[in-house]
Amino acid sequence: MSSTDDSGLILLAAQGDRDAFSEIVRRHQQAVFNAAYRVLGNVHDAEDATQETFIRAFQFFEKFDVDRPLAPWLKRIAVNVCLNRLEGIKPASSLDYEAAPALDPSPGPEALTVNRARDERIRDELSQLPPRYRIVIELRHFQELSYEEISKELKRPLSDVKSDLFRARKLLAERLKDLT
Amino acid sequence: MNHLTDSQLNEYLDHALDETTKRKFDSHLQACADCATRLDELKFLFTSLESLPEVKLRRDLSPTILARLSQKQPPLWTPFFAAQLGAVLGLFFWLSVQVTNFTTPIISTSRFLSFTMPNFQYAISNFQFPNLYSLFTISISLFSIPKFQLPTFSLPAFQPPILNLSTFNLIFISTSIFMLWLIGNLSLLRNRSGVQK
Repeated sequence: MSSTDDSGLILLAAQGDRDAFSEIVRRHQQAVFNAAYRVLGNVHDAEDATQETFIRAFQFFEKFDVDRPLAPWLKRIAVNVCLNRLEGIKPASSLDYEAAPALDPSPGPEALTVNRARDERIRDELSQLPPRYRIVIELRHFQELSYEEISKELKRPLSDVKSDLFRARKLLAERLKDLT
Repeated sequence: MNHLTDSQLNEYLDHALDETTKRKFDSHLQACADCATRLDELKFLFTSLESLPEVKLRRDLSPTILARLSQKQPPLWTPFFAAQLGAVLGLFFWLSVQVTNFTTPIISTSRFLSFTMPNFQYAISNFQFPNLYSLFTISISLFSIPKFQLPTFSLPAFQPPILNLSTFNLIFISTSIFMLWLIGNLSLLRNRSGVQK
């Protein structure tokens, strides 16, 4: 099963194959979780959004074009799931990364620790951005969508997308100035 | 040339400019230290975001997802399903009425089809609520067929004799097809409600 490609697994999963669906989840859960975590800024919410993403995806496997790559499609669903959640919850005041030490418990050398602190700082600042800014950052920088694709995905005017993206970057750059 | 705006710098880094504009901006950035610094700040942000490592999941989520998926039931009572069920029940009702002993031939139509319809007036006039005896009589009559006269479905003469189906056979076949259709749909709906091994 692990050697089967995504398209084969999707076809099997669409027919109700439990093992195939499990394999799809195992392969892509990390990427989907990270997309959700960057947008939601909270491990528990991101895990929940990841689960919801796969449940939604399962319902559309029959219609999915297996010639397309699966990962970008799943991450796109994840962003939509996060968008729905963000409409109902307040922005996270801080990442709960520290509250979940099991995420990456292995201690590293000093340089690694410094890098980790820096990464946490970036994540923290990212999570402090307004939700609509976080969404465009995710879609542009991590999912590498063009302005037009983001506009289509979010059903927002192109000018709004550009405006949000540029403001988000400006805000983030100012907050991370001391890291340069 | 004036200093580049924030939007222009963003579009420059996003490769969203046409070739002519890009070349013009390249020339300006080589000459203008202020714009070059602003571009570097933005570049640093791009690099920081792109080099952000992935966070490891604490646990495999697949068992939880599968469990949640099994709990999620789609609406079974869809309008289409209800229409099918109604059609099947209606057919059954009509068939059951056909085989009662209070049927009287009241309709005789074309040369292709002749059949009997229930004489409800007879049944209703003999029913006195709460006369349990009447109710019992009617109930028994529903399952008895002493006077049942099976109408025939006559096909044109040029048809092979094997296709001369009686109405009973026709109803039996139609009902079987309906039942198979219904069972098939139910089975599909049940399978759709969750992944099956």
